[in-house]
Amino acid sequence: MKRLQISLWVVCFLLMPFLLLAQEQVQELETITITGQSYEKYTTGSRVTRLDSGSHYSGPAQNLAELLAGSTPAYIRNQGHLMLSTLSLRGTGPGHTALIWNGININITSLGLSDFSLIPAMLPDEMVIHHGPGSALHGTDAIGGSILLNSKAPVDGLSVDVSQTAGSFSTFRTQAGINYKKGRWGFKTKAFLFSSENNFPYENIFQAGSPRVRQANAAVNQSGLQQEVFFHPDDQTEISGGLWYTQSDREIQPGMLSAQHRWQKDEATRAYLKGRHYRNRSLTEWTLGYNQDQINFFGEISVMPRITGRVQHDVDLAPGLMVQAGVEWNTFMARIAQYEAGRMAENRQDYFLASTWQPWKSGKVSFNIRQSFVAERPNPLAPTFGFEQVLTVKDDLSCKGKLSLSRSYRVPTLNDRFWLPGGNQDLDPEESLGGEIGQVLRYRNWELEVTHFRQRVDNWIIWLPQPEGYWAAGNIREVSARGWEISLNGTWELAPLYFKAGGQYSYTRSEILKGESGLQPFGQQLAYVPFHNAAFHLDVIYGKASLRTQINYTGERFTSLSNDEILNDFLITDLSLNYRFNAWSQKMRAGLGMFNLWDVAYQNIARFAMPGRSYQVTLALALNQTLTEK
Amino acid sequence: MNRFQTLLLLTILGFSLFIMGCSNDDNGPLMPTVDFAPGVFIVNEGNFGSGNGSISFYHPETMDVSQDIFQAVNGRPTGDVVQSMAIGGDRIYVVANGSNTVEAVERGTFNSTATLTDGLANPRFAATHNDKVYVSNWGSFDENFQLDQSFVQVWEAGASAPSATINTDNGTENLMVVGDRLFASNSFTNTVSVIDLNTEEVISTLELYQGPGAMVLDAAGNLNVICTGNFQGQDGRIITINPNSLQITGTIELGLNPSNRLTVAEGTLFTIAGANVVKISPSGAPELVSIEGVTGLYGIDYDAARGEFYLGDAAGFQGNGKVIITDQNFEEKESFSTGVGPNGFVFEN
Repeated sequence: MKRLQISLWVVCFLLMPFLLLAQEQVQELETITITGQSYEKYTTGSRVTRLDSGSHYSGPAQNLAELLAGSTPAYIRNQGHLMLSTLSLRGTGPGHTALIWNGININITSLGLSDFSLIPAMLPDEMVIHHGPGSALHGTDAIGGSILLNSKAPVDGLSVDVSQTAGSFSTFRTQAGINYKKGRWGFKTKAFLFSSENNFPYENIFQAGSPRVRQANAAVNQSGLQQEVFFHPDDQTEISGGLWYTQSDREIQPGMLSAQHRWQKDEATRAYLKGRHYRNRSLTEWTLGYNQDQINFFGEISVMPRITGRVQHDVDLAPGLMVQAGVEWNTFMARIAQYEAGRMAENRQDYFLASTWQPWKSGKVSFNIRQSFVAERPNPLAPTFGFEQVLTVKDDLSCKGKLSLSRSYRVPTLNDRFWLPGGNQDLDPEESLGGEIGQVLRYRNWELEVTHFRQRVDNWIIWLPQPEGYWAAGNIREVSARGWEISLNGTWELAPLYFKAGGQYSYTRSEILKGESGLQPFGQQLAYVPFHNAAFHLDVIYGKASLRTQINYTGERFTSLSNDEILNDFLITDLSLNYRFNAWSQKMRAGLGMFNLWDVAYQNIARFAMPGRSYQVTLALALNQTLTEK
Repeated sequence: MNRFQTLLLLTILGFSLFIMGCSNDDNGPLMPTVDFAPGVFIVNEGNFGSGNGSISFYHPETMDVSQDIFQAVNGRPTGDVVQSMAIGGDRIYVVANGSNTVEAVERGTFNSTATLTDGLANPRFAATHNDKVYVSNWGSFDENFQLDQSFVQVWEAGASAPSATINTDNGTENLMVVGDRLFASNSFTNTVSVIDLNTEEVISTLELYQGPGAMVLDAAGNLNVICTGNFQGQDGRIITINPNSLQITGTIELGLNPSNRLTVAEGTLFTIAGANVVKISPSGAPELVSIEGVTGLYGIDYDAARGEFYLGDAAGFQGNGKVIITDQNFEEKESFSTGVGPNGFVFEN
């Protein structure tokens, strides 16, 4: 009964902006404009998290996994330190997030997921998380959410910055960036070298006598380069192109009970060419993309190239009404020994329509829809409906209600379809029906956002043993995920100090409704989906010095679908101190990082060691311009 | 935001930083000494690389199940990929393939007496004979995943290093002692190595069929070897050999690729494939018996003393497995949850 009361209150709270629609004092929503990232105007009603861009380039995180763990409520599963890192958004699986680089889905096509430890944090200029099902805008894989990595045009002038970092466990990172823009041309270059012996000490509680040992077989070597060119032939046209190359050579960290010595080499080659042509009240955008992942696992090489082309057109039909129509085609190829004849190739087409409409000044509605085909076979139709209503209570206090309903899909991975034996080309796409309701409260420099989400994922593919003696993929599982996401962000000044704080919390219940018969009865929580997850950061800025405290809490989680082994929760605190100064008439920055400050012994994945307290120092030099910070 | 609020926030932050520094270690109490006899040990392999292999113990009289007994008794996990166990004398040997260890525990209490590691490289199975334990090893894989040299180690009871290492063919898997001979099936090949236990040398290498694995002796004293066949060849076989003359005395074609499991019940051989038990009568085609409610069978053994089959359902390795005890017609009598990936049963009388 009490539960019901609480639920009613919560619903009333969330519905407030809608219920008070008739109130006089209404604030105008930002007018929809045709500029900016093309998808953003159509994300009405859903939660969007934008990462502080300063943290990418000059922050302590080497890869996206570390960056996301510290700044979002998303749960990152690390199969060891600097090892395979997958993401679970809103209680879905590791393949249920679309990772999109400048409009191109860069999930590894054979596996249908991304290893976030292979994506350097410094390469993207901007990172946006679009939570929840969003296939209408982002195509396949966008079931738990989508992560968008975007490039930004360079700023006028020339700037060069170089930094060197050294840290515990023989960890070194060298990175450089060049930004140049003059007239109609702009160039951006980013490059890095990263290596770590990664031989951190830990207490192996699983060996007799809990000896203190050093992690063996976990060394990492990575490097990468991104080159981009921006060209404005005239005021109405932007043409940009980019090339991304990253490589990684890793030993694979074995578990604390394992004596395996394996290695993996990964290479990613990506390119895009994009044109945007503005006309009076319209925008035509075309994109050509190439994305190739190559994985060499212990001598077994697979290569997965993919070509993408897309044309879309946005029209400002009437004041407050904008419509986008577009078509995308993809050619998927793969050279994998276990596929028939060692290779596959196929075409996919997507047709999509997006629209956003402001029926009144304080309200906004979006309707998006996508129909895609894999080798002529249709995927589920993916529509999204979104609604936002803003209400101003006082000048400095407002709230915005959000509502969104979607259907999303995920095309089975290439391995699910082509692996012999066990792959099945007749598999159905996974599909998800979901919705969210949320509210954003703004008071001065503070913003509180509360979201409740619910979704069901059906036809979830897993591999099971077959009578013929091998494993095969099947549309086995149905999962219901629901939960809450709460975030609070704000800034304030207390001269001479300036503060920036942000906190996120998520509660996730991800329940098996249908699955492998051997697991009955159903109702179990998915493995490695914590009920509680939180992240908090506080920046204290004093003149040229700044101190960031970052705390990440990962709640207890089950290690298997049996829900009997519980892995302890952990709370990791990181500190980083930065100081800017001038030397030799150049701008310099010195940084000191302390990770896992309290030397907490924890496991992210059961029986895989993680490092205790560690340190790093950074020295950065910026020529001709301020450091790429903030 | 005023000064008070700021101070409050900083205080809360400071306090939370403090409490975060305090850890909570909770090592559960160890299990009181239990007599693990008589009854049935269940070998739960665990997920590869996850270190969650375990041994469970089932008391048929009381129908009680003790899970993860090695952890309960010794306060640490059994290992990664707990492949097999063997009983000999007053010891039980538990082979953890992924950990490269063989745990020697005291029979009855399961107290660890030694962890064997010396020279082990992908250990698979153990067999015991006269105070000695023999351990089959695949050997190590090189940089390009090529197998180096498979071998069988000989350990004297209580020793900290093997007394002999006998080279065999690739993928040495199951072991079976018959008289003073040790039969070792080389699963990546088509051979079985025959080792004289007095000289500890290979006296013969029998060519059978692709993928030799589990072996059982039948009532007539013949050795039956299951050969899982060629990849996707649907050509598994059971080959019968006379362990004295080393002559092949019979071959049964199965028409499928069975799992590497073999057991004998009242003169009939049984293996498994998917969710089916495969009944192999000496005459006539192999017969598939589908087991209700099973995701994928992973272990089968026959308890001759009680006339019961023990079946292990790995449930797709997504969580704990299930043990199903059936009568001789595979009618379920009892079932219970066990560790991850139950691959076999060892009967302790």
